[in-house]
Amino acid sequence: MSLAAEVVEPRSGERARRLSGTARALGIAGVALLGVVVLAALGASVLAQHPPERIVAAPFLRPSGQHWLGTDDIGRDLFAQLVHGARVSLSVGLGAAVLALGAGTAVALVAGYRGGWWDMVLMRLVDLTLTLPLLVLVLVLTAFLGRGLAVSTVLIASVLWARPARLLRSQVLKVRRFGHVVAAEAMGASALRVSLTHVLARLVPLLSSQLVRAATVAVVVQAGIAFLGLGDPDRVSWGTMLFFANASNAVLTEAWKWWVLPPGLALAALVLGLALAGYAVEEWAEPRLARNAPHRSRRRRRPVEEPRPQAAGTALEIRSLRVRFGGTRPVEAVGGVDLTVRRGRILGLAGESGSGKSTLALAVMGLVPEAGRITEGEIMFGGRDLRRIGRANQARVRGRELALVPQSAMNALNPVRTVLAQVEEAARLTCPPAEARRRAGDLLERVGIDPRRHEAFPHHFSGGMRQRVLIAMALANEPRLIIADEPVTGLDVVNQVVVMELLESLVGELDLDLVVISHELPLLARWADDLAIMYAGRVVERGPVERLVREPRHPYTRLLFSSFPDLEGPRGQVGTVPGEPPDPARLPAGCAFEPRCPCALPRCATERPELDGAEGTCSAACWLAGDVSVRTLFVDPAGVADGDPG
Amino acid sequence: MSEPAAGQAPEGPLLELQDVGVSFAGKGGSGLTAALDGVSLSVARREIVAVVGPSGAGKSTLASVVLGLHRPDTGRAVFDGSPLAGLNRRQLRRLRQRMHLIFQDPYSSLHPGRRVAWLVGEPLAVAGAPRPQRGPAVARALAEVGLAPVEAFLDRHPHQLSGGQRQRVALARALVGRPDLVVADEPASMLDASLRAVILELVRRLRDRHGASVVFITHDLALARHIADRVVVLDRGRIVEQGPADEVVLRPRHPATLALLEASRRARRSLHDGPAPAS
Amino acid sequence: MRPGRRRLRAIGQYVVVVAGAVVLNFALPRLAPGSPVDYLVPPQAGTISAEERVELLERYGLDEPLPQQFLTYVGGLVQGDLGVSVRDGRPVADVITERIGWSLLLVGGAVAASAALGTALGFVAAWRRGRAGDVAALIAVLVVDALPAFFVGLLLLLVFSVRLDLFPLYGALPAVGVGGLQLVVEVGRRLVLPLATLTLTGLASIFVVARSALLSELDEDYVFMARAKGLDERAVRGHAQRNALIPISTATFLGFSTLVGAATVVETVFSYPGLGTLAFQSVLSRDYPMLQAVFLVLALVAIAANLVNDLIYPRLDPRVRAS
Repeated sequence: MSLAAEVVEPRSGERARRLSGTARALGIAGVALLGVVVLAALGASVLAQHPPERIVAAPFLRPSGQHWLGTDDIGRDLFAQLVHGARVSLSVGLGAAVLALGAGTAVALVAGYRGGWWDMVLMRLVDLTLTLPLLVLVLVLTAFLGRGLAVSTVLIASVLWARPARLLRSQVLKVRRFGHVVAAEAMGASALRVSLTHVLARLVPLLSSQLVRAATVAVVVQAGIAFLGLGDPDRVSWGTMLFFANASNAVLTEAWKWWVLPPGLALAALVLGLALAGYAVEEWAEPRLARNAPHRSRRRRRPVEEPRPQAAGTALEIRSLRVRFGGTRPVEAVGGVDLTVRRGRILGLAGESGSGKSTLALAVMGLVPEAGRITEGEIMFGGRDLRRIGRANQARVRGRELALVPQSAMNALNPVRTVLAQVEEAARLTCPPAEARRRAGDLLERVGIDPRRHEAFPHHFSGGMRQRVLIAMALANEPRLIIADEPVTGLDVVNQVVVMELLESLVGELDLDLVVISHELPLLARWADDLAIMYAGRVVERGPVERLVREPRHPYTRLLFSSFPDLEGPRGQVGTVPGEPPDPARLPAGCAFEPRCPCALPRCATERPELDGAEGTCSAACWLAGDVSVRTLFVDPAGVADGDPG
Repeated sequence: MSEPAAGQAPEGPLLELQDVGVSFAGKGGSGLTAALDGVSLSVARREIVAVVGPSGAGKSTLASVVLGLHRPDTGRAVFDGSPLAGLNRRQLRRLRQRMHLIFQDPYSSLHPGRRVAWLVGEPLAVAGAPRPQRGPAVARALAEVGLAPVEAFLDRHPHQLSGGQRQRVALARALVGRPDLVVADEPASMLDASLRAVILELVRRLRDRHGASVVFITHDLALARHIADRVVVLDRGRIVEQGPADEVVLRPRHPATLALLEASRRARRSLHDGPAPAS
Repeated sequence: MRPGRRRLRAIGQYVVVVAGAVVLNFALPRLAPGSPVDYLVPPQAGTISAEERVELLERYGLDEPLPQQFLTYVGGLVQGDLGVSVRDGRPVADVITERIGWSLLLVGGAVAASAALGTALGFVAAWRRGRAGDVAALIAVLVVDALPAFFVGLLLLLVFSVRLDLFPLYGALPAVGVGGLQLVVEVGRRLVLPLATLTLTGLASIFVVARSALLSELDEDYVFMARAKGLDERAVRGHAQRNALIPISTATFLGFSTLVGAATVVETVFSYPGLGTLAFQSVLSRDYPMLQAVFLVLALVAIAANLVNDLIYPRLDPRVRAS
């Protein structure tokens, strides 16, 4: 296993944790319920007028001013038992949970971190404990080893530790591959230091949710054991109360109202309180759970006036498109883009992360993520505006006329279906089943996948091969336009050539149009016919590749060009774009590149430049683009690289 | 470029791999597959060596062997005269404190729950430096990577930094411990072009100002040629060619290197045949 | 790993677990406070004399060295000898054979019902995450789960048997012999309430797993891709749900062991003649050999459920299938 492949990106936890409204409300309700039980436990001696374990009156009394809930079968006060029962449940729940989590965490750290024999032995023990039926195990242990409250707590913990241990261990194994953990190990930090400062900290969310869960189970198990007659004989608990109620057939008489209901509801309140609080904790631990389903607004504001017809000779015409993401910090990811894909030409769309190039692609596909919305503009494709044809028709265009080759080839295939089945499924949108299967096989063969491997699952394929499967899938319904979003990122250079050559040959063979999105400018310069460069949500320069590479006019384009090392040029010349990309939520009023631009004018800070040329020609959005004299001011890449930052 | 600086150089190479072999249990249980096979490599003091090769060539396995994170099945790794195999856990940790690993994705190497001051000070803490000494060293390192004013950054968490700033924090960590050897594992492949320059600048600075040796792992021939003194080509676990950067990249002799060069030429086009740099 | 080796390893794990259960069972009376003889004397016998004590030790072989005792014990188990009930002197194995069918009927039915219901509810909630339907399902499931099984049982008994007189109060079979279809109906009527109670007990854990499994699949790139390649919403759901079934299946089979435990209290409430009621009666009458045997048999049932899960898992997830 390679080192690079082992380092995984921690998915959650880096973002600020925020609870959804539901989780917050449930959490507050849970804490309130818990509060009532805790208050009853704390104030038990004040609230109850009688000792709970002593016979104070005649048996089977109905509720009265003296005995609020009457008395049990031997004349003990039921109300006293109820409030004192809270103490038992709380102390067993909390005690067993803390013990179980402590043991579980220790086991998880040793097993997950030391591995080898330790892992082997400890995990077999976990298997054993987890497999045995929990309540029955506690029952048997209690029958033999004693039923006192302290013993009970320890026994319950001795069964409960296994589940958190297993969950925490797999979390440890995951966290071990997080970058900062590997980094600490590579730095020479001791195992103790790594597990305490790096691993344990990342276990806290899981630990807290497991703690609540263990407490819940402990309360229920204790009550169950007591209900089966194995409660602490000296301490009356809710389970014991129900045991005696059941033994006296209270359900058959009216006594159920004051003998069965109160302890049952008290138990339910405590467990529900824990569960609700636990739900909030779990969502805090796993922010993914907080995401809401898309609210589909049925009334979508459609543009009123008819759009200008699509220009002849264009495959796709995007006009002043804007995509906005809502939330606390609204961001305009695409801020008024005009872009044309000309028939028979490959368009390369370049830009750094956050420049809006992928959002643009998603907008064209009709797949803008839930939080986003197209606020303005037209997407002319096949003679109509895709924004006006309605959601259902948009879905019909997808896959049939317009196909996507997505960014993450590694995960874009369903792991449990064969590659043939997945291509076939796509082909079935337009073909009868038998033909779809044949067609899928042909396509896979066309992209270079051996027929013997068509029935294999995605995990049997390398990254490059999966990318080919995705290309076959995109071709399944003979689309007219394919958008390939970072199709070769993550592939090595040999596979990059194979995939790009495949795409290029398909364009020629099938009369397709193609948009390739990438942050690798030299790659686009090699394979595309037209090039568009995006910065902060807008196209800052576009034109035919030959012209643009020979004579870039926007300062950003020039600096970006200089930052790609040249394979055969003079050594040691790698430039950089100074400064930082702008905060997308607070774009400057003028040119977005102005704060980083080495030759900005006063005007650039206040007035936003527009693209200065017509479609099909070279055009740049820069006040200086037309001014030849400033072009050579800053194109010394070596000078840029040697300068100190800041 | 690769000769050690006069006066301060001890004898011998900083790192030496002698006939190193590593194998993993193959897929389907069918015996072992070799990730590294008879690899011999030496890295001089103050030398930048690039290791290039296609994916699956064994580059990352090489990095873990160098850092002592993986014990080779055959052969041995020698760091500054001491063979790694002969060391116990503690000694190995001491040795690792003289090395630093830069990740493919430097963000992921920052603990999300800690502040910049802690993050940058960690290599010093691991090496056992007392707390009062760490502060000034951390401040120096932050200033050196261009995070100024330093006070504005010390108390921030990684998620409060921009991409470029996080990058620089990761780099400050590499500087602060004054490592003798830095291993960079595909450090630029996932980055935007404008951030890539920051990495390259740091790698040079580590050698030029701090006298470190660098093992730079990449599949990008152009990058390897620009950054390294010497290029080593790895193919299916074996070193097939090594030599001065220009020699290997521009005039390769082994078919595997040729194939890489050919692919690099065909995958990309030079952006520098435009206007000549003015100077 | 090759299929042969994987199978061998899995078998090894089960051998360890079964051995663990057997050893635990053997060790408990010997670890417990007092002499093992104390656990073999019927409580009504009162105190026993020293001679009787020695006689018992010899009869049960408790004076022999521990390894010898263990071998005798395991030998007995292999021949189906689980000891003799101290309450009525019947062979434990006979009593268990009489009762195990009822427990399997109850637990098996509840596992199936809670899995089906929990999965359906969980999927609906996940697709409507954050909306009213999700919140309502979530709160309902949390409340049901918070009610202890025996309390739910008592309430159902109170409402449907005592008040509404819809179902018999206790037992599994009618007192008067009936046959044919009539018998099936009568057995069914007595099964409804305990089955409902146990199903409600198992519902929440499946619901939670189903909901979060589907939510996590929805984040996967292949779901996005399914949409991008033009599939309709039903087909997209099919992709995500198929993958969510993997953790749900595991949760169902592992939940078997939880429900086997919960069945003890539920059977007790309804006096259902399964192993749970037997355990309860053994506790009350201090019939320790019987209690041990019930524990061992229930443990084997739970282990078998795990085994089924291990056999099914590779069918659901090709990634763990041999390459």
